[in-house]
Amino acid sequence: MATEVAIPNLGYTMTKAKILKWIKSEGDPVQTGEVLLEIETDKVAYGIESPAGGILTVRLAKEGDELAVGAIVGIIANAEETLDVSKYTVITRPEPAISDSPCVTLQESAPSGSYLTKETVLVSPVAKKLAREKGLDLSLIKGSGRSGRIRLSDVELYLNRVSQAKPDRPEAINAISGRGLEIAEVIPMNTMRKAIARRLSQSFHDAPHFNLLAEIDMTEIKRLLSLHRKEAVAQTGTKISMNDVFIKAVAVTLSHHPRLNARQIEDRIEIIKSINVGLAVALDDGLIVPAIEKADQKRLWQIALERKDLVERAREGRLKLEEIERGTFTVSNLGMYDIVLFNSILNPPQSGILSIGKIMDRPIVSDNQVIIQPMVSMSLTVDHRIVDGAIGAQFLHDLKRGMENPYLLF
Amino acid sequence: MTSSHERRDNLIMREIKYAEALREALAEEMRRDERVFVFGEDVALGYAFTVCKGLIDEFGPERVFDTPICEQTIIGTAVGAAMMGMRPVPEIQFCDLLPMCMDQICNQAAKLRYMSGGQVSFPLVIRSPGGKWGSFAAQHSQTLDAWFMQVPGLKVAVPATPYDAKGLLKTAIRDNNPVLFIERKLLYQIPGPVPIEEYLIPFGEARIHTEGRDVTIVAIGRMLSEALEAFKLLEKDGINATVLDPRTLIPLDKNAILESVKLTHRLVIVEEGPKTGGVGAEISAIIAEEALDYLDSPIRRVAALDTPIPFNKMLEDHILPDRYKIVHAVKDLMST
Repeated sequence: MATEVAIPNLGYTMTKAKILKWIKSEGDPVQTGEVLLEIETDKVAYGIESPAGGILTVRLAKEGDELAVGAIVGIIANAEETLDVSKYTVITRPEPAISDSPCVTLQESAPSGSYLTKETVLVSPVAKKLAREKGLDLSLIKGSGRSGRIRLSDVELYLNRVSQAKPDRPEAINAISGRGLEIAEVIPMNTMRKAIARRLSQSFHDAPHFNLLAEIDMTEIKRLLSLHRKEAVAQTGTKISMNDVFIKAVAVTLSHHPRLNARQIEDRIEIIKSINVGLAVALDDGLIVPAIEKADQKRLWQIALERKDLVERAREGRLKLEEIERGTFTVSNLGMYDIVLFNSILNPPQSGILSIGKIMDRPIVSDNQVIIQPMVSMSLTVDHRIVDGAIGAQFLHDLKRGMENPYLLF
Repeated sequence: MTSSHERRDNLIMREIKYAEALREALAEEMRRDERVFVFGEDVALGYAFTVCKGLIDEFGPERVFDTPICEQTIIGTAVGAAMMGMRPVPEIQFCDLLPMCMDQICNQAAKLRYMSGGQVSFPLVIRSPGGKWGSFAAQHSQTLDAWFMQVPGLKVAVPATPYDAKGLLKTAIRDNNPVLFIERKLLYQIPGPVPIEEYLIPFGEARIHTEGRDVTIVAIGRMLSEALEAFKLLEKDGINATVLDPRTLIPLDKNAILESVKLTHRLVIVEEGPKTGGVGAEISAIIAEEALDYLDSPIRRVAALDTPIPFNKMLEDHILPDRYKIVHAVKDLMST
């Protein structure tokens, strides 16, 4: 019995992956759980393990190929089995995805290779022919016929859209960017850069953002932290950082404000049960947001331990996709750069992101006296499709109250 | 795809009926070649459908004569006469009666030129009307065009207009091979433009009546006029159809159909005969073999149901294809 090896779906925003490297060669004996090949998605590298023991009989895609989720990349079979590869429907390569790089694609339409998919796509012969000639991935084309059948007009419409999405003519670009400017360096966008560009542009464009600002007295938090730090170091050897406190405070507050732990999918708002707070981590050239699962239910030192591990692996590029995709709310802290206050762009499809500035000793008027207190400014950015002003304000109010009175939270 | 040989634009046209056009073709060819003669049941009187009416006055009883009501006699006489160098044009009053002469047509006429190594030829044209006449029931309403496509050595013409009827019949009479010339009863009294001047229409050249980009409708015989009516109905809904008449089934102008399908990506074939094993089946197979990659929807055949033609008018109408069934088929394809 032959077993197919397919590109797994590692998260709900994942649509495709690139083959980085084949570990196993055709004809290699493999065991269940052995890594066959490495793939790269928008966010992470991932090793695909063999779903069965046997021989890696066929490799159906090569290194560098970009494939859709579900595409079959290889087949594991018994040595004595003869394999009928022809039963797999051949569909043209998925490159290019229209949203990423519409400009390159159709010009260089020579298909670099076909790949196979299990899914049956209803497609008219002439539509299939045109897609083949243009090197299009039929799985990216929406069919308007019965049962989603892809017709000639659908492919033509897709081609139209792609050609309109192409950048303007070179002379037009020159006119905008300034003729005669000398280019010092051209930096090609890597997969992550492209993903950031695409996702945040989409978020900025689709989600109506608004911001709410608050200033929080950090006196009590600082006291609490000085106590907890000792405990955590004693128990785990890990120092609790201010970020861990923010994560915990936000998570507990979110448990009372489910609207901010939600996402919009088509015409509905989905409240997510699990509160998984992501922390924005800056990388050399990029940004990634690993999330701590059920942060509201975890002790501070547990959060610290997990956060440390996630940040380390984020910098090494060894995060699992799931650790990124599970985030339901994001915390971004630029205090270490002496930033006083800033606004973030929502991390789609999340409904909220909290931007945290530097904690500073500031003069505060209290009981008709000017006193000095450690203060932090925060900006809550929310998706107005999901969260209205008052709901966002209540959340921020509760967060402020909790942080100024940590015994309410912890 | 009007043939360049036809030079229709330069000719002076007048309106005559399909039967009159056929009569003109017969008369002109009889004047041109003394070996041409016509005979059959009630031919001298010009019955049953008036095609031969009056020919006896010009050409006399030796070249225009009646036979007993015995179809084997008619075709047997014709095969012998053709073999001996005459150019007979017998008439079988209803194509439903052709089966009685199957051996003479299919085993003798179609094959002897080949079997004799070309020593004899068969300049024989069998004229016979098919299709609906209106409550003429199962034995006088059939359309048997497809049967004769299966007999190598025969040519099969199915003219749909007075113009095609005249031009194709003259070509058939000049052909040295046996031709089955299948007319249509309901078309005999339908007028249409026909040139005064002499003209011929070569076999194997389809005629495109309308050019549209959405669908190709191949219509045979009387179904051409239904297809042209369907064209008007579809046009109101913004659907532009190419209506194509192959005019001869053997030889078939498959290139015209292929080229049209490559433009429209959709094909509907309309014939009055039963669907199973019909002309549409053959054309569908050609497209599937040679132009599958150009199709945007399945091929649709609009044909008679696979049942004997009933006497009852409502049942007969139900069984036979018409303009509405064509429109329905086209719209169905457009939404597939």
